[in-house]
Amino acid sequence: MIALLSPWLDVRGSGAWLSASSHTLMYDIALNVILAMGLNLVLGMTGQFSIGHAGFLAAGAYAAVVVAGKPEWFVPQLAFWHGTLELSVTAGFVAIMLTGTALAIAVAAVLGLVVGLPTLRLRGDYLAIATLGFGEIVAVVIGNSDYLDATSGAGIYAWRAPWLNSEAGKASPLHDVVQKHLFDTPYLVSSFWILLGTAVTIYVVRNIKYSTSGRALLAVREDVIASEAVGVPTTRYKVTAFVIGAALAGMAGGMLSHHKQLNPQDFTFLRSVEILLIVILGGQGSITGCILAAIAVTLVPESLRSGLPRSWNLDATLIDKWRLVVYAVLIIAAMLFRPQGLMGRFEVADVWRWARRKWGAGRAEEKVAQEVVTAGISTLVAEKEDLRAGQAAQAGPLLVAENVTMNFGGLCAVDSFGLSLRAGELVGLIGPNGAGKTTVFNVLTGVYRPTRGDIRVCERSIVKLRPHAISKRGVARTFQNIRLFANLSVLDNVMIAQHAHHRQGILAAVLRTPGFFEEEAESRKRALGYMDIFGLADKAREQANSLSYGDQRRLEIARALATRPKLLLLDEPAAGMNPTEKRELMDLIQTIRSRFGLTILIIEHDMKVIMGICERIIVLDYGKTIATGTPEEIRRNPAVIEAYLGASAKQG
Amino acid sequence: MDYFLQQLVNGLAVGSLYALIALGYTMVYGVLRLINFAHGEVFMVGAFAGAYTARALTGDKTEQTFWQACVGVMVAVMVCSILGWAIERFAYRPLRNSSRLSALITAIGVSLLIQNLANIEWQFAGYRWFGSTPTNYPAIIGAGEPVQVIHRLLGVNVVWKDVLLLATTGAVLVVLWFIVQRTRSGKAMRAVSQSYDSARLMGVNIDRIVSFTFILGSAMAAVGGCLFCIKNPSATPTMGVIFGLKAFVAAVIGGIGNIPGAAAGWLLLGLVETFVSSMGYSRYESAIAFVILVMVLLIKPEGIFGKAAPEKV
Repeated sequence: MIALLSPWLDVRGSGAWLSASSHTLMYDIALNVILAMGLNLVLGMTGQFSIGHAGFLAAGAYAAVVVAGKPEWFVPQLAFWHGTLELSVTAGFVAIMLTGTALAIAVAAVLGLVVGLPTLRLRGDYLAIATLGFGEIVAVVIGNSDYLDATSGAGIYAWRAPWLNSEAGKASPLHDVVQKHLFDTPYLVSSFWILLGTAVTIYVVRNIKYSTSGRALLAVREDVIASEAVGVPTTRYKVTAFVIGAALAGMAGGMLSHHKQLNPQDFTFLRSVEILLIVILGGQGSITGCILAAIAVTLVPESLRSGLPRSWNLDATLIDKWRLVVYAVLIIAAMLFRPQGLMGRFEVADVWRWARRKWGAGRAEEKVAQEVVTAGISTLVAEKEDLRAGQAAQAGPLLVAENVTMNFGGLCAVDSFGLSLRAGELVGLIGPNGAGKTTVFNVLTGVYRPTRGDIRVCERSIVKLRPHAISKRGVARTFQNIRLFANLSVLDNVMIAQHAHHRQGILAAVLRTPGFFEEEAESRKRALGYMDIFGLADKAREQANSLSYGDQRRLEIARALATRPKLLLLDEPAAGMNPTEKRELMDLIQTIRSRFGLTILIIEHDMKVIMGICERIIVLDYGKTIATGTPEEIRRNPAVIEAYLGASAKQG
Repeated sequence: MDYFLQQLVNGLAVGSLYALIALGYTMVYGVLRLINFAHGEVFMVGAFAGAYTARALTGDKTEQTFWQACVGVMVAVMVCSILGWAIERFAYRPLRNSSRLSALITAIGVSLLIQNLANIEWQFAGYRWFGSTPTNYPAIIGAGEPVQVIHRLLGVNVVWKDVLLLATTGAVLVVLWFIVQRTRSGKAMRAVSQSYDSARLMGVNIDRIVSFTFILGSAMAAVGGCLFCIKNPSATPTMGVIFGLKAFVAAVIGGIGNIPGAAAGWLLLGLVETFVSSMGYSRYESAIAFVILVMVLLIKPEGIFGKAAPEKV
């Protein structure tokens, strides 16, 4: 162990607290932490596969060197640096670094937007291809360009910050100034700088993770369609995460350029793979895991290299080649055997909380939660009256669908569907399997855009809107085959659904403004209130997919309610429930309807449920509406009997 | 006009290579909805297999006969079929039911693994194998000669290897078309790409069909690898990366998962690239594919021949 560590501690005692090589190593770790944090936002938290971060790193690095190469912009007095202008030199130096880093961030963010915007709005894996291509193009351009590659010849720029004194014997003025006036050694200048950058990065990413935006990112990872349905603008979040990830890589690039001369070797595909490996080993969005993995992935190969016996006579390029082989094997092995990574979803804080609960110290916390639940319920009760008043003021129909037709290729799934719902109605939508009921829901909620026809909510057309915008207009839904955010907690599931009502954006989350804390507490309170209605409040911290089937169905309704809808679409809510649960569900539907002044459209195969609660029933068959009326009328309608039981049943 | 025809021929020759690789991507995507990143590496291994067969047959000469090259193609097809089967069996199949992200990351991992194993120089049986120094692929005797008939008729210079490229690609496409449209396995493959679950319920042996798809795609990549070497006479471990990416772009342009679309995509990409580099912008050749990709994704993301299929909810 000592033998492995010895190269990193300054055993020769040259005065600096770290030897030059261990300083470089620390720098590499810090850079990898920043880069991995950026990719973690994209891959770990948002679930989008990006593999070109070395490209953003390069863009940032080259941008920052341009700034660093112009000290005269910042310190006009630099020509007289040997005079007494220590303060202005120091200020100028800090200005150079800050401006360089800012430019690096900006350039990388713009590139991120260019790569991310066209690809991320699409479903599928286009981002992977686009980023792979982007990384390759950047590497090829840098490697082949005489202008950018400082090692390939006498470019007009030597791509090196002027204070880096790599040409032996030729002291650069700035280097001396820095040494003389700022810190003892130039290493420490950059140490301070990189550590600051790393700390800021960790703080920013942590703040994003535990906020409305962070939960929205996690929701996108879990299920894009469900995220849209509860009002999360998924494309915007994907692009935002990707741009922030790119910006962080750009910042790392800026810092890299402040530390060493740029070399095309730093920006190859190997670099992107290394970052990818760190995030994969670190876990799905775990910050702690990411930091640990960054340290391990940077340290282990270096230690091995210096720790291997010299007699083996391995040359550096061969080791690099083997290193990539090992990376590849690790990536495959991680996916096959531990896809959730070292830490899984967990952070240090989670482990701490778990330990406290395990050993009894967390009981006070549970008690507080109970009070929050009570407060949440009273908030919801107070709002009830307002909602009722709002419903009464609503004069015209809440939802109108006119002549809605949905074709899939040659198949007409829904044919000239018409529907008008008054506020407060409870309407059933029934029909044999394949009649087009769920397609109607999908068209109403914007998952599909109808081939023809118009849909209006409160007199305004929603046909061209994305699902999240329709959710914002007050249409919420559940799904036939439950679509919860399976790996998130019950509480998070419900909190995410309040997204459209949150005013504090990503910036407020990063800065942790008072408004942010206020909104966070309010949101939690309300979420617990909704959960309590469905008997889920005591399961707040449980993972959604660990709930029983009935609880999962109830949680889905609670989540839909949390979007504060006017119209609730329930898609087979009783499926898989036993008779007792079904009766409870019927009561529950009546309760929430009166309590929140809801209008409800329900698809259900269980006729007891439908006949028991609906005021009006619409029957679909082969995409056509074959009957509408009260439960009693529907029961006797010959067309309905024929659709369900066949023509012979009608005759008999 | 002559210039145009000349570039057209060159573009067709380049494009036909993309076609062979793009079809492998598109078939695997059609069946598994997975971007098989390792496909470019299968192509690379195919090129090496062809080169080493030629080395064995000619005794390390710089030229080989047409028939020796044919043997090389056959060996490459066999090697790559086994490789493609193994990749699916051991890396992708265990992840069939996990998230798509896991499968995608694994695909990148497999691609890296093969590429970097090939990047290391191995000593075996008195020969050097793989390694980052380009491995020479012997030229086919006479393939560099212009085809006199075409020159006389159309006034353009077409060398025999271009004809060889186009003819082989054409033949492979016909065989593929026959397999996909006219055989039981082909029908099962189309069924799986329509609906994985329904196909299974109808008694299709999914595992067998997926393996078959990988073998078919890899065999075509092997042919593509050898043809690539006939045109540019050396194999390198990294040749699959950019080439594979571009072939994938061709598949997306045509509409991924759509076989005739992939063929149209390569035509377009090959032609555009050839014209742009003939205008003196060859430095930017690699970037063009991605510019086209971004444009297609912006304007018609399902590809020129693809149909926008809504996700089932």
